[in-house]
Amino acid sequence: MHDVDRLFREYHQPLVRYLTRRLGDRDWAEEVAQETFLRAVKQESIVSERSWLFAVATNLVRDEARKDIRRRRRLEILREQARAEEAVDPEPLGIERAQEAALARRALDALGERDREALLMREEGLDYTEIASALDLSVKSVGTTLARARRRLVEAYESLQAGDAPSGARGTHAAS
Amino acid sequence: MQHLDEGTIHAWLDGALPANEAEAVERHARECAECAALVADARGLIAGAARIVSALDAVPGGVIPSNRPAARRAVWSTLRLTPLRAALAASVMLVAASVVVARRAPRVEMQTVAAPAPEPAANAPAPSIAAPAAPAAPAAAAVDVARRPARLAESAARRIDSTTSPATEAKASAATVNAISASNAAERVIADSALRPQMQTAGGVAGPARTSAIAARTDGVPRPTSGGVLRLESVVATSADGRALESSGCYQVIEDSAETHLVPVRFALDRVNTAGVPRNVVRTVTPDGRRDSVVAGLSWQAAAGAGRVLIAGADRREAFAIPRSGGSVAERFAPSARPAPERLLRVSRIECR
Repeated sequence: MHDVDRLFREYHQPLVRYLTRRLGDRDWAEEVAQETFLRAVKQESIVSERSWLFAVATNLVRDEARKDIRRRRRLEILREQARAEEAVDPEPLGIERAQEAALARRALDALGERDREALLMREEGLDYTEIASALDLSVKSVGTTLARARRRLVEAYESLQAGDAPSGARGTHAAS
Repeated sequence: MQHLDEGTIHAWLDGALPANEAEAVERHARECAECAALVADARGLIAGAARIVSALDAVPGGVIPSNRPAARRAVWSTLRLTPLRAALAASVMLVAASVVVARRAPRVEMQTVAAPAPEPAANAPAPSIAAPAAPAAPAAAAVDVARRPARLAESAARRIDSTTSPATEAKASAATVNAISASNAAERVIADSALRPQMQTAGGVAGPARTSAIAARTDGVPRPTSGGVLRLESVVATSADGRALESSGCYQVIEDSAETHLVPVRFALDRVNTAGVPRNVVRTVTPDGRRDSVVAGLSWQAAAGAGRVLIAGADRREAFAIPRSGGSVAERFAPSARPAPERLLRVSRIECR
């Protein structure tokens, strides 16, 4: 049995942030994080806590992502909400932030799933060994994965800023 | 040693290589111009990607459909409603509503007449007076707290006015710009709270994030918020009146002692319109003087009245003086997480198209 309080204190915030960035929705991220911690409680032993938690959370997200109908509905709602925000929010900073967030989201969606997960994990401070363990990669390939992910993300963001569709954009959020 | 591949460079910059390998990579990068350029490129990508990812934190909650469609179906099936039954129910409701409105109409008229009648002050509706007063107090307190660093910086600048040490001068300038930024950011929030008090309590990421970013600046020293990264929102700026600022134009970095560079060697401070919203962006400028792509995540603003420009990214800011023709003196703003106030950024204006 693990010290659940400690696990929660140490990893809940970064895990929820990772999931929020990954999913684009805090409530959904909280749900997945809760499920992850539930599974951790049931687990007899965990060798590397952080990479285990991130791996389980990532797998839960992938399972969720396979549910196409839900994904499509969610995207529709997000799109509607983005339209509504553009229409009613008169505050420039709010619009600017929303636009930046929307561009960032679209740029992130243009990445392959593994690249996206590796990048988001790295931004949460996971080291190469932890990322390799969570994503079932070799440690040596993490650098290449991150290099590719960063380059594509920045290129996609720039092309979106310039008003073009990002090259190689998948157009879906959680495509595998 | 062979040329470095991109993965190795990123692993090195991320501190993921063993010591001996890291040493070899560092040595090679120092000796090989081609690989040094790749390293600089990788640094830019790492910083750019971090900024973009941090922009993702501004997300709404409660946008998943969860069981909403299912619940809607359950209600229809539970009530066994058909379009015909629904139409009948709607008709009944409409008639009932018309009756209620018709009966209440005269009363409404009486109330509207009675309202302007003079009443003793004690009977005045208290909430209408108390409600706007409530947000005013914290706003005033915020102004005071936010302006404190500006006043401190000003008095510090006055105290060291006769000092000739360039390092001290640079520090003082940095402090002043820092304070200006803090003050501006706080004023923006105050304007927010005055105009839209409901937004302060609306929840969501925007509220807490903005508060923490401002809190990070009220002491005059930017502190990292979550994950050691300052958020972009409190320093994003556009001119108050939406007009193009004089500081827009093209610049060339003459000297930058920092290891990592926020701006490209040649850059343009530009204004773009994204979906009708003007934004201040930083562009790269090609060696032949052509404005090129927008640098992801960077924004700029003119530090009001100081003849300075403040360039902001997600995790650091740099400031420099707008050089007059032929001039090039400028100062560098210390990055928040890695303070280095003695570093200088010197730029000069260049022609570009």
